[in-house]
Amino acid sequence: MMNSLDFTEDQRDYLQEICNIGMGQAGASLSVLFEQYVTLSVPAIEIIRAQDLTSALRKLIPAEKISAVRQGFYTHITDPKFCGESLTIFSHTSFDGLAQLLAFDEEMTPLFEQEILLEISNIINGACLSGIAEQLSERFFNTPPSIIGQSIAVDSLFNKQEIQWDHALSIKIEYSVEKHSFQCDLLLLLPDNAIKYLQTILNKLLDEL
Amino acid sequence: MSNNFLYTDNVIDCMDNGVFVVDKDFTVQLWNQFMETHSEFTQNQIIGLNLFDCFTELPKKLFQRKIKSVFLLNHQSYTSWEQRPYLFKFSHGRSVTGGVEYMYQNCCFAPICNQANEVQYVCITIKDVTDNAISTMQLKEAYSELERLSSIDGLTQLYSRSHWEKRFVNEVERIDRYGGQVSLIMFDMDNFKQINDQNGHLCGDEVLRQVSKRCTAILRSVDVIGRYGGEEFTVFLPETDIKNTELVAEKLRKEICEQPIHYDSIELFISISVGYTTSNKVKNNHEKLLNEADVALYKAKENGRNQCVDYSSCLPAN
Repeated sequence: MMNSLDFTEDQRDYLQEICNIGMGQAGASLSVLFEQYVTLSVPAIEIIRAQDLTSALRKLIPAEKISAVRQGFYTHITDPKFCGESLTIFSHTSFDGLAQLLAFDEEMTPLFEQEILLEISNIINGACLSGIAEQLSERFFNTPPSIIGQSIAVDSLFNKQEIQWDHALSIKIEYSVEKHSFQCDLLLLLPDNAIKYLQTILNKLLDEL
Repeated sequence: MSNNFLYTDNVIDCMDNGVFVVDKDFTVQLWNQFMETHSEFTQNQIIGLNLFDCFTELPKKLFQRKIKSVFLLNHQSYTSWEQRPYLFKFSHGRSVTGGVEYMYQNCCFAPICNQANEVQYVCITIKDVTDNAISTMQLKEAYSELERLSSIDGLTQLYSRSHWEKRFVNEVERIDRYGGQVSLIMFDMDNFKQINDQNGHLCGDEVLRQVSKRCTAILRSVDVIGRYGGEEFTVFLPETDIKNTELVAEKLRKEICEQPIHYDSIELFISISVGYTTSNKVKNNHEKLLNEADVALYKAKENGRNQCVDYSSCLPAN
């Protein structure tokens, strides 16, 4: 029997299409905001099983030490609960480059570095989610961003003893801004219930085609 | 439509958060009771005025950046007390017990859209998080104090075994990844039980303290010494070959045995036995190095104490 969380080919293609268009819009608004050409990769979509989390993460994020910011997002729908989290992952971060990107000219301190990480993450996340939300005719609400850690190992991103989900849909988008040699990855993660809900929306949209 | 609730303005005034609205030129459109209470402006005074004209202390550039991104992305933006304690210099409810000058604030900049879903205004909410901030800061202080306490051995003020081991494991991992060399010295007080039995434990403690002091004084600042067990000590020496390690080991041994230790009116001649080893070029393991130093130390004891033994001399000759 097919796992109910598996996507049909149509669903997968359509989701990919939605993400592609969403990222196109996100790239456009980020380029305006940063006054720089921002390049976004084609979103890579996959389902991660909780028991494979460690190996899946290492494959998604090959860097050894990273800095990471998390932010929650959800819709007003409660049944099934549609919510997820986005992780913005910075590897080899040049804070001076990031500060230039935001036109920050304050003196660089550890706290200021954190503020830059939070600010960039929130912006990137906002651009991406509104891009996708528009395609899904949904509106996403979000929680304030918070720092998971700076210069931490990829393995410490999750509290593995307390994982509350079995499967998660992962959408990975790579960002780069050439002039500032800035690069980061955005991981949008949706747990089981949200995947089911996403499939319902996809089916509805597919029927309308 | 007679059921519609008509008290929205009152609700905004009842909120225990600062709420105000500006347009893209920072002209104030709405100002709730909380903002009135904490600032010197009533809504009648401030509505229609420019926010920065009224509050010169505000970080103008930050506001401009935030508002720009809210307008462009139709997405909230935030500040948190942990990075930026406050935006407005407001007083807070812990004026007596708090020990902080201004209200700690978490702020949110949210878009307000028109019918066509275009951003028209930005609504800024200010949460008073002074209480949380103070307890979080106290927790952080307690945590770093605990961390300090757990890394230091109370008697000798050297690193505790667990902290020393952590540092040593890191060093071994570092040279395995990036290349380099690390040497390890392990030493133990000779006949320490006898010192304790004859002069009491307080005297034994004093001996350990003075030995630690002497060792710290002659080691380089890059060498890391720890109290490994009762009267056993370990030192790792980054980027040090076996020849120089031998010199350091010998220096430590002489330093301890050449001058007696004074405790009350007692003069005590003491000595240490020392084992040492160094990393190899292929693959290292901290446990293996510790074991090697331990074998050499045992050999030094066996050979009659008060001497230094190189682990390689313990290996059977080929």
